[in-house]
Amino acid sequence: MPPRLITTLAIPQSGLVTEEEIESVSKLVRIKVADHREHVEKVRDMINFFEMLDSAGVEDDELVMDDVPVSRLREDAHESFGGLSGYVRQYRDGYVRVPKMD
Amino acid sequence: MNHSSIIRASALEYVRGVASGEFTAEEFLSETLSRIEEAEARYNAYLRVEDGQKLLARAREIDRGIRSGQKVGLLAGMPVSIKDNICMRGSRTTCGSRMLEGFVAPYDATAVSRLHAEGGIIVAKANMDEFAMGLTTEFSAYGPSRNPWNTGYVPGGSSGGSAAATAAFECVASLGSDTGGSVRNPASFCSVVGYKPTYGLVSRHGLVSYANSIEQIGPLARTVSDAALVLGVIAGRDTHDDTTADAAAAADDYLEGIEGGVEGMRVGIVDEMTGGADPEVARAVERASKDLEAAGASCERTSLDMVGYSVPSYYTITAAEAASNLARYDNLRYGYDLSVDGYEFNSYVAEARGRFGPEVTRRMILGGYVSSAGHAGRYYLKALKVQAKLTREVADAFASSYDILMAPTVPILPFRIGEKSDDPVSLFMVDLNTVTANLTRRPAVSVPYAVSAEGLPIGVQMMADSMQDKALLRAARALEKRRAPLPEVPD
Repeated sequence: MPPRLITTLAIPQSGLVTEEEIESVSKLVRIKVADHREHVEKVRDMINFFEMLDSAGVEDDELVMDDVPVSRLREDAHESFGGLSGYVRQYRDGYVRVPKMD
Repeated sequence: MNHSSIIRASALEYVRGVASGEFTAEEFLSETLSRIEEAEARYNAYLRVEDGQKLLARAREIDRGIRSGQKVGLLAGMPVSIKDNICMRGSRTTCGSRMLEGFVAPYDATAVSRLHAEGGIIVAKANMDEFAMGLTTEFSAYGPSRNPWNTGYVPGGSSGGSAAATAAFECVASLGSDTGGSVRNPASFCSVVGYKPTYGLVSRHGLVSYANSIEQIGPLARTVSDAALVLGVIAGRDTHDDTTADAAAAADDYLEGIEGGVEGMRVGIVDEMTGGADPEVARAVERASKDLEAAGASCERTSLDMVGYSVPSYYTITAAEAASNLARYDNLRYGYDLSVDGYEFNSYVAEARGRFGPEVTRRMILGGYVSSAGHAGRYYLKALKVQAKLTREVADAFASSYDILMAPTVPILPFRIGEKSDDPVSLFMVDLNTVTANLTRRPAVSVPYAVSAEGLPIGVQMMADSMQDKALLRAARALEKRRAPLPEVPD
């Protein structure tokens, strides 16, 4: 395979990402976006760029996982950082206040 | 050395100077604070400078310790700065975001505790791209930092404030974080040394998470030896971060043997990282290879096929991890003042996250998209497979052929503020040469090497095998010694 140079990277242009998909994902990740159109073009460019992965020839490769023995992990014990409740923004009369759940 | 010039001292010169009585920690700090006051209007390297009186009181305490022969730590009052995504107890930590505008860290990051324990004085929190997502520092919610070599140009990023401050003598050294090049890229653009340690060498406890599986805290300094000194202070096993390496695997002293040279070292110059580089940058790497050969190393061109896919793999993985990490910002545990009254949970969280800037918003959307049930196989899992294949390629290269892999740190010259901020994919390619070290968890360093005809810095990147940090620093030091003298940063 010849060197893949910066100037010759072929970026696929499938344009699969729609404004509706971006709107849907932003709802799923719970982030308020005033105007989705503001992000459509850039997110689409980024996703199109990611489609280069299709030509990497890794479909049949296995994922590599690192095994970490439990003995290596620290003891699962409470450790106090002291007075953290003072940092909670929504705090009143000893309770953390949260919005209503539907 | 007179007092107006003492702030130009390297870290090692500082340690020697304060120990010999050439100057006091208080005098040096006082000069540094004056320099910050004078320089910040031009560079915007810092988001906050700590209380000067408290800092000077600490410096006087260290001076008293030196006079009475007490242990004052390796850094002995040295003024350092830290990127604003590293927690320091009692200090605001915003990550360059409006989302954390009023957040005061309740504890010290391990790297900060270690700096303090060795007598480091943290003078300021450095500017950065919001949540470290960017490579120009233009995505800071508090305005861009400017490159001391030319204030119309970006300093690189995301640790751009750390690099600009170090280059402009607003500190002796700084800590940044490197997820895909965020220490090395700004180091290259500002002509300072930027060091990304082997993954696991430095604790991430207290580093606000962006992409946990690949990011590391690393030092920026004006010389390779200074970076080694700071690395020795912050590295080591930490029970608060189970990804840190066993104590036996890490060195105690990264300065030891650093002058040992590169005689017999094998250096591979990576075609995929060099071929499309700006001609001035490519020529600099060519000259660097000749310098290393003159010092006794053997250099040859080599190829790593998977480098061509490293950038999409990197951005896919980091977007997925970022979306997960940023999900903690529900504004209930920490955040800014926004009353919960009248909101349903989901709408409250979405409203609160409206404070994220556009780049962070896009990365969250991207992360949600590439890891979602319908798309994970196409993007995220494939990106992980590319990472695994790239790791095998790099491991094979080190096992069979090379001690060092070399390339430009950034394939292009520093660019103007605003020049690329509207083109995310063109910005992605600035990361082409740096992300491989993160994805493969290898150590890498950017060494200032040349200045372009236009007066813009060029850095050379060297990468070594895992836990070969000492060998990497030795090679970097050899290159630093052999390079042609560099001009002074303009003032």
